[in-house]
Amino acid sequence: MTFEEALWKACLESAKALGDDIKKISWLLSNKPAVARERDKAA
Amino acid sequence: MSFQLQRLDAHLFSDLMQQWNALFERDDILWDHSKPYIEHAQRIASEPTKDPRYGIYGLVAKTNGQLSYEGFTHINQKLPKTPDAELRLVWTSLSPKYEEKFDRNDLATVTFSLLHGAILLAQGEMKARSIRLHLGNVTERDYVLGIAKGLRWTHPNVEIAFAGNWLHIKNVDELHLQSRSGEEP
Repeated sequence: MTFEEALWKACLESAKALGDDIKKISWLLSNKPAVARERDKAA
Repeated sequence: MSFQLQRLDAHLFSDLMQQWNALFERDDILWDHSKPYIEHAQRIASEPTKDPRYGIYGLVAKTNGQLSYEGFTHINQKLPKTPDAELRLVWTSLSPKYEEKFDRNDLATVTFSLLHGAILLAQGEMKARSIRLHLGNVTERDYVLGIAKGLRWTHPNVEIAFAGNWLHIKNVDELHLQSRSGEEP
């Protein structure tokens, strides 16, 4: 298995294991702290 | 499908904003709070003198000559307490389009593209022996621990460590990559 194949498989398998927590990834703009705080206040 | 890491200058960042503005128009709150992150990156990308050790890199999909900006990250080349340089990826932000749909394939594609692209950079224009990826929260740490576990199983020679909120992949200059384009297998 090449490094790329192994990296892709590891990324995908670990993403599957996250389940619904995938939406907590900080790279999503809505998970930047200020956005999350604002939405919590509005909810 | 995977994305390439491409250094963004003023012109390319302006293209990115044209694509993203249409999406921000639907969500004022998201724009208000994303603005500092985006404008900060835009200022760096637009500096007239290119810093060879710090840049804003877009996660770019290329289809029939058209670019789609899926995200961006800050990449800097540091010399820590060792004689070997390392690349650090911080403040990654994804396109607002992922607010509507972000599934496991999207996450895997983004992560593969960041890590593979960083290794290519470390072997090319930003020479470094290791790469570090900043982890923003516990979820990312759990996720990346899973990736490390998978890689250790298939590639035990790849040195992976965690230090604080960082994933650290060492000796990337010794990794043999099959693909130079960033295409996943």
